[in-house]
Amino acid sequence: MAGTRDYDHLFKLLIIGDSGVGKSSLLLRFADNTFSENYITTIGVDFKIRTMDINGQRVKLQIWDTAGQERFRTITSTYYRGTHGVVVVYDVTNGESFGNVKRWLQEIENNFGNKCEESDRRVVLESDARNYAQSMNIAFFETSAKEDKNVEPMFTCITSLVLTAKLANPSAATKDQHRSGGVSLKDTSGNSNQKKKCKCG
Amino acid sequence: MTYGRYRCDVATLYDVFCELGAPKPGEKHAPLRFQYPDDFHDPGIVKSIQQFAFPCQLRDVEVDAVQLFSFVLTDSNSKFSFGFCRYTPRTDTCICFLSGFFWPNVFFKALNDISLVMGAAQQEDVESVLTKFYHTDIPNIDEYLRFADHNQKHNYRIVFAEKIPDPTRLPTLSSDKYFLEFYNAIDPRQMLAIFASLLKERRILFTGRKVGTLSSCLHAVSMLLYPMCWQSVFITILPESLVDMVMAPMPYLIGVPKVVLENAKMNVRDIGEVVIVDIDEKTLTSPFDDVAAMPSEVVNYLKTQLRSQSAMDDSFAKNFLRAMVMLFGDYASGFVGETRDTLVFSKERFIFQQRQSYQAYLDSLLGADGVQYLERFIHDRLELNKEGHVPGDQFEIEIEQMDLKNRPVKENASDMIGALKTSGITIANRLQRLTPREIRKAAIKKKTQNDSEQPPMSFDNLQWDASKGDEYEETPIEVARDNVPVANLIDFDEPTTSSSGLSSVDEQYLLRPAELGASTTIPSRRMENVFADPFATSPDGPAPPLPSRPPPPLHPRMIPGPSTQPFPSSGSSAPHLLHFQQGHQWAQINPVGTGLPTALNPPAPDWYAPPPLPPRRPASVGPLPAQPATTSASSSSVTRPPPPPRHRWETFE
Repeated sequence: MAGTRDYDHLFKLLIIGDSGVGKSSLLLRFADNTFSENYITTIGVDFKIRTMDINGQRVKLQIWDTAGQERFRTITSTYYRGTHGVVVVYDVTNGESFGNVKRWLQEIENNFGNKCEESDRRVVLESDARNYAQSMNIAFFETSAKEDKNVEPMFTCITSLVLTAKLANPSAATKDQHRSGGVSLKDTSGNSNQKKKCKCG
Repeated sequence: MTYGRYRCDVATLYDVFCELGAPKPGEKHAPLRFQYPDDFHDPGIVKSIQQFAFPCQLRDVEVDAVQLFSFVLTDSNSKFSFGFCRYTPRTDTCICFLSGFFWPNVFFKALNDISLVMGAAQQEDVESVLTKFYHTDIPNIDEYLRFADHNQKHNYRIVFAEKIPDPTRLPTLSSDKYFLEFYNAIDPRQMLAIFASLLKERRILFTGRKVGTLSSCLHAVSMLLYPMCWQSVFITILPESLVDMVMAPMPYLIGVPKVVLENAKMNVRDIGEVVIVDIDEKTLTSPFDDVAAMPSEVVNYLKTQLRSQSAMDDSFAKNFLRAMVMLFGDYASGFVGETRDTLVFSKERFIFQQRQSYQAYLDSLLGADGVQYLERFIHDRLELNKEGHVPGDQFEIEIEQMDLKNRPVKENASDMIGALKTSGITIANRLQRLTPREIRKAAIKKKTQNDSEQPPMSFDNLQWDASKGDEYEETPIEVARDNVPVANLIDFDEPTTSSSGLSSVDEQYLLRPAELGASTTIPSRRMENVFADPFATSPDGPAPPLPSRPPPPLHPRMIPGPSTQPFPSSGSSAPHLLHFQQGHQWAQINPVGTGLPTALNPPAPDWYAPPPLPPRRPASVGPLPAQPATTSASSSSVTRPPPPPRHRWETFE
């Protein structure tokens, strides 16, 4: 935490996806400090920090993750209430994880214009996912945390969207900012191949 | 409870026991002095204990009293492990059990006893006790965990029996340390606001100086949702090194020691919209007006009930259970489907059948736009129904009692009014005037109660301003509270140093051979150690004390006149407790004596009334009659009301 702010904006993102889709490796790839401890198995919640420069604005990103999301059939809106964006992740090698993405996205759609989903899978064709993302008006990236493919563009994309939304409506509360943009990231992580997809719309 | 978050993989009574020294300033992990079993498989968990058992510099917080507190760890499946800690200021050390069992009475008792062994005996003795405890058979719910170990040569002896709490039953103030501390620490109006924010699944942060009270409040608050279960982040004590977690954007219940919060220097804006409860200052700040959003029937009911003194049984917890039943008790009416297999929950159908005044609120809580604990609850009850099981927990029993089931749908909208008419208590009337008897009572109490100078109320949520008028009207009831010898329940067996060594241990044992018979009082007595008398000498003395067993606590209602005899001779801590009680927040709630008798308006319990019937009333009674519901006027804290017929809650375990 910082008493004096060394950034212009603080954005909180959520990362959602089944366990085993590579959320944590995606976070690690993105975070400033890859040596920081992981608290998800200690207190069920953790976050990683990354400071970015978007159009001259210093943006501090917190990407939050929680344990045991898959136990919910529906993730209710209270979960997203305080966030600026959501990254949904699936595994390109796991069709089911993509199915869950669709379910989650529908729920998020009800509450946010702004979403980020990542998912990894090989079973899921990128074109399918991309089409789906387009239909949902969300950003889509196929990423690989292992090869560091597309991770950066994905987070840059979502950050820009959130920032744009915020600047367009500076007086609005954070909740309103979420509504104006739309980002979805899908992260596909196979056993050896990890790909993430991020949708921006 | 399928929707519960208890671990299923628990094989031993506890996972690991640790003794920790205080961390040096700036250090994240407290140094590990001792661990049992020494080959415990998960070093990560031990690291966590080193972090959580010393969430901050505890010596700064508490100079002379032992602190019993508890932390919660959440694993990757979102299941809980519970850390039960005992901090000793004299040595600046903390001992801790980590267990999958949420049995605070058992572990705090064991911690107290083991601390005595550690003080008096050799390291090998400690290991021997811990080994024996580790391999103790795991009792069933409602059975007793019995433990005994002694070594004459080495000067120690441990004997205790603690009842395993039944999580499907409501906690009682006499046996649940967490609930009692919550009840003592939090102003009733704040309880209501906390409950309202809890229902809305807010981000709720508690802070306070004492880690014991703090963690107790967190545990108690999470239990208010019964039979539902908080689904999001739950951290009863947040260590200094993790203070950034209060920025988490999702719903949470987090307890942050005051010193941690003060040192954090966090940008308030970065925390976001959060409800903050300060236990020491007795303030609650919230960006939301969640109480106003609740159906007024529920609010009025809770206001009335929470203001009145609770008996030491489960009636305090029952207030919240009844509120839950009023809100969600009709959930089964939302189940639709031709056959069991096709059963689904229809939010629309459910809401349509609720009273008008409830509909908007319930709509905001249900479905994808709603709250997670309800989503889980509905899901689990639906599964139960599909499997042909009949849930039989306290919630369902209360639904039966409040007669919510099987009511004709059409009546819903109008029966509220009908109920009020027939009950003879219209709210408007109650707000206007008192019965002569109530006035008389108030006058008597006023006479006997002189500590009328009360600190100003600090609760700053808006909705209370509007109702200030009737706050004053409640005065007599508040006065009544001051007479309650909460102290009676407090601290009877904080160990005191005794030169008599073993003999006093033996005496202690001999004096309580009938653990079983007196079971209802024993846990509560032990639980009160947190409030232990600082004058009672070192809790770490070589031998446990308790020269004689104090008489069972008097129940407030057994005391004929106000404060004639508030404190039975209960041992050395009484003076301290007296002090404690005078500073107790009940006295703060309303300026005593400022309200004019004519303005008195207590929809409040009538202590002298005959025992009220259980609320067997038409469904939508709304605010239940203002009596302390199931507690009889003559009941004492040692006699529990007979438990309601209990069906086995099938999915439990």
